[in-house]
Amino acid sequence: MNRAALKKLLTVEDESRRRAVFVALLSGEMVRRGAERPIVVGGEAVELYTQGRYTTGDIDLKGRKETLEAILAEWGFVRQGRIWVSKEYGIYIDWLGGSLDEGAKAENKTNIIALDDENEIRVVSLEDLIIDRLCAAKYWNDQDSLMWSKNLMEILVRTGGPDRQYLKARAEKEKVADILSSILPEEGDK
Amino acid sequence: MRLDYNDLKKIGRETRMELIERGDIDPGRRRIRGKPRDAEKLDLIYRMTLDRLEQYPPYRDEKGRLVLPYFKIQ
Repeated sequence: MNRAALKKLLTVEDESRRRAVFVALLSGEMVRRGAERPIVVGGEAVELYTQGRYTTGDIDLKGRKETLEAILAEWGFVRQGRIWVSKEYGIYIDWLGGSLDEGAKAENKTNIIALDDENEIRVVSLEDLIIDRLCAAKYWNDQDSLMWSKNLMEILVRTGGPDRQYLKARAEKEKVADILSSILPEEGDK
Repeated sequence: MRLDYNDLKKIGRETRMELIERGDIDPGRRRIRGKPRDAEKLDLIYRMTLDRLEQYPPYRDEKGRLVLPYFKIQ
């Protein structure tokens, strides 16, 4: 993709929409170069699922480092520590590793978000994101994270429903089963 | 004093960039609010997010992909 196509990003006023479009463009470019689509994790994943209600400053990605860095450098990003920064687009990329820490099962559960027919974003599953927020709520006593986990659960219920077995297994492992049970709707409930 | 929104936005972005360059803030560090929100505010944010969910209901397309209408490219 040439830089002119990327410049269109500057016309996207809403920053959460701009980040979403950027990740889709970056993902498409990575696929074109033979890599897998990167996986969006962390705050940007929450921002995507909540359709911009949660806002984040940076984009946390998992994926093939060499390809990602080559593209970012070509697109004018500058590396600062482990963060890649574009002053022009106001975008910060934080590469967090090649694959999900939660393993192959979590990778199989990722969602593809379609912005249109061609532009797609791969995102960590709602189940894994909920567990991540529950851990923050329990171990860091972060009430915001508990509230976001409830919101994510609501979104999960409306987009196919939770994989209860997977959620419970992950919650047991992370020792957050007690909080999970407080936000997991009864089976059969909407 | 009259402030222009776009000027403020530009200044905010430049300031953030300077702080990152100086190493004063790390954009990759997970942010936890130092001052917890009160229950009413948390409930408000929760409801605002549900309102967006109602206004832009997500769905799965024929390929099983998630479509989030707020982000849909027109």
